Amino acid sequence: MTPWRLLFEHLRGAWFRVLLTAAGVALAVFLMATLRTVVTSLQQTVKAAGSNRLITSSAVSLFVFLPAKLENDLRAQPGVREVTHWTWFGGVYIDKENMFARFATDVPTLRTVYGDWSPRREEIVMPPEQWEAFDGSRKACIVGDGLIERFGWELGETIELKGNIFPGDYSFDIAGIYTPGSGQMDSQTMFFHWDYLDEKAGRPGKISTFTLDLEDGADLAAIAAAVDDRYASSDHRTRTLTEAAFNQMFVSMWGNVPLLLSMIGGAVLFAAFMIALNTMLLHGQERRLEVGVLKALGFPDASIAALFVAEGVVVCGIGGLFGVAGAHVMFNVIGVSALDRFFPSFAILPETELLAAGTAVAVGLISGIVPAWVAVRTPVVDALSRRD
Amino acid sequence: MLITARGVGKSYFRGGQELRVLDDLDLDVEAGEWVALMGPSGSGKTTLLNLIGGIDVPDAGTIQVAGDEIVGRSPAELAAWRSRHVGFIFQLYNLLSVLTAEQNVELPLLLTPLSRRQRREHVQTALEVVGLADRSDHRPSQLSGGQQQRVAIARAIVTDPSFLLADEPTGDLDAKSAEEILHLMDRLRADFGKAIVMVTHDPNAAARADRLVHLEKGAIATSEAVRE
Ligand SMILES: Nc1ncnc2c1ncn2[C@@H]1O[C@H](COP(=O)(O)OP(=O)(O)OP(=O)(O)O)[C@@H](O)[C@H]1O
Ligand SMILES: [Mg+2]
Repeated sequence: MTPWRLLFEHLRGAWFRVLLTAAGVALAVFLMATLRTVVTSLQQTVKAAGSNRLITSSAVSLFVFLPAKLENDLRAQPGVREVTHWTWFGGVYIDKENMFARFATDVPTLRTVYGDWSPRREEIVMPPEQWEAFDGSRKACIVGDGLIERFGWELGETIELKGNIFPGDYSFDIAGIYTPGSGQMDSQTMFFHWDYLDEKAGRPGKISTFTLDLEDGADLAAIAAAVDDRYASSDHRTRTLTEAAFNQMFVSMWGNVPLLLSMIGGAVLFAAFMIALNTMLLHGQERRLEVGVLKALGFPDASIAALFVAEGVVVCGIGGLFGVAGAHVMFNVIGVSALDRFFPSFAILPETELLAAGTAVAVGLISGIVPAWVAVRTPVVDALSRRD
Repeated sequence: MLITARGVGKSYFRGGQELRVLDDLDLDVEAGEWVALMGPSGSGKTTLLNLIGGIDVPDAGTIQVAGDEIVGRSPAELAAWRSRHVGFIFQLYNLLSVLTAEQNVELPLLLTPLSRRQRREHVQTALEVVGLADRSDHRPSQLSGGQQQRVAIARAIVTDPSFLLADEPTGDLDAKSAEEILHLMDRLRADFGKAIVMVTHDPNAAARADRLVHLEKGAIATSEAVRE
């Protein structure tokens, strides 16, 4: 009963306007999906955290080191199964632009807590022979597959780093390539021997964070409190957090950024909505006479409304589809490495895609309903008259 | 009697002031009759046509068409009634510019249960009646005013309505095209038995009708048979 042909002919006749509107919606949806993915990626890091691990760092700041001698105290703490440690190296690889995380660590305990010796989920996934090779040579390092891809390195290659926090020239042989076992681990991190670093730096015994791997069923809060109490009056007060809380702290270093991003995403979307609505309203006004004719011929209000609503949904739906598809291809298929540097895994979630596409359709619905409502409400005689 | 209007009144309000456009008006149109409505501008001719065609509702009175009362029906009922009984012809044709002649004529058939093929046949017949079968895939912008009006007439007759309402159908046409349209309307009445109510300012057009009704200040001043 509805003259759908009209919808088709209007879309075809005004293809440039359709294209512009759809492109506007596509862009907005793409942006919204991207910003939303920044937020979900941040949340992902928190969610993926192990529930049996505590991170002990200096209570002053993450940039203040703890003495290495704490390791044995911590290991002696009841409920603690194993302790490993990470130390932020900083440094420069060829050029300042080539940022990636470099940590000095202890290989056997790293393997026990995060690697294939862990009784829990493997976070750093690597073949045993590469773990052996890493452990076997003081100048060995392992790197994430993301770095291999980024710099085109190969197993066995030697890479040179210039130290800044720990001055000097350092060279490392790539003994292993790991893949992240979960969203918790980044694919662009390098690990090397803390002992090698400490020796070259003249044995200062500095450590950034200790990871406490707890026994099953251990009371995280009690152990964290016990550790921090123990050093409360020392000159190296500690702050012990669950891995999730620690990651959350990293996330909160972004401050209100997630909220801000959500707001920007919303604003962009709202702008696209206004554009779509405005276009549809203008289009509706131009079609006043057409509405009058359809009404005079006896077409029911529902048919006339359906034409407008369908047009809004089709135009915005196409835009939404392209926006989501663009984001999907960019982040999940090609994988834009620029963002990988900040997030362990920057991938648009299916629910984000659904949300973005759904929002586009909703924008289309509303921007179609408004002119449809105007059309239905206009009396036949007024729609037909050319008086105003 | 095809159309019987009794005591029809219609007012518009403008700036709080009542403007009585039609006042206690009676009109009868017989089946197959061609009535020409004349009168000064603003006398209510278009308003009367709109009321008979069921696209506007009177404040008072009754209008019966083929025995059915149309006053007091809901907008949806009126719409359905229009699609079955009325063929509208407008001064400025009012074809939909994005559709071809054929698609324009097919439009009212979408409200019927006809199949696609049947619709096609009906459209073809209607376009043949108006002599534009060879222009079926032209858009309105590719047709002259007279041709557009003929397509509009095809659209008005394609559902085989009881009567046609034409508001200054030749008002925007040159003499030759106007003559073609009048000739066509003559045939619709003679060959197909369609009643026609036509508003016109042109005495020549009015002379083609069976009866001439003069409207003056919202009431019928004179109604007389046209002698040829
Ligand atoms: N929707 C409306 N709102 C207010 N006034 C209206 C409306 N429609 C018509 N009128 C007024 O009603 C009167 C009659 O209008 P109508 O269009 O019926 O006249 P007409 O006889 O067809 O004139 P014309 O020969 O100029 O077409 C006019 O004064 C007009 O301004
Ligand atoms: Mg008029």
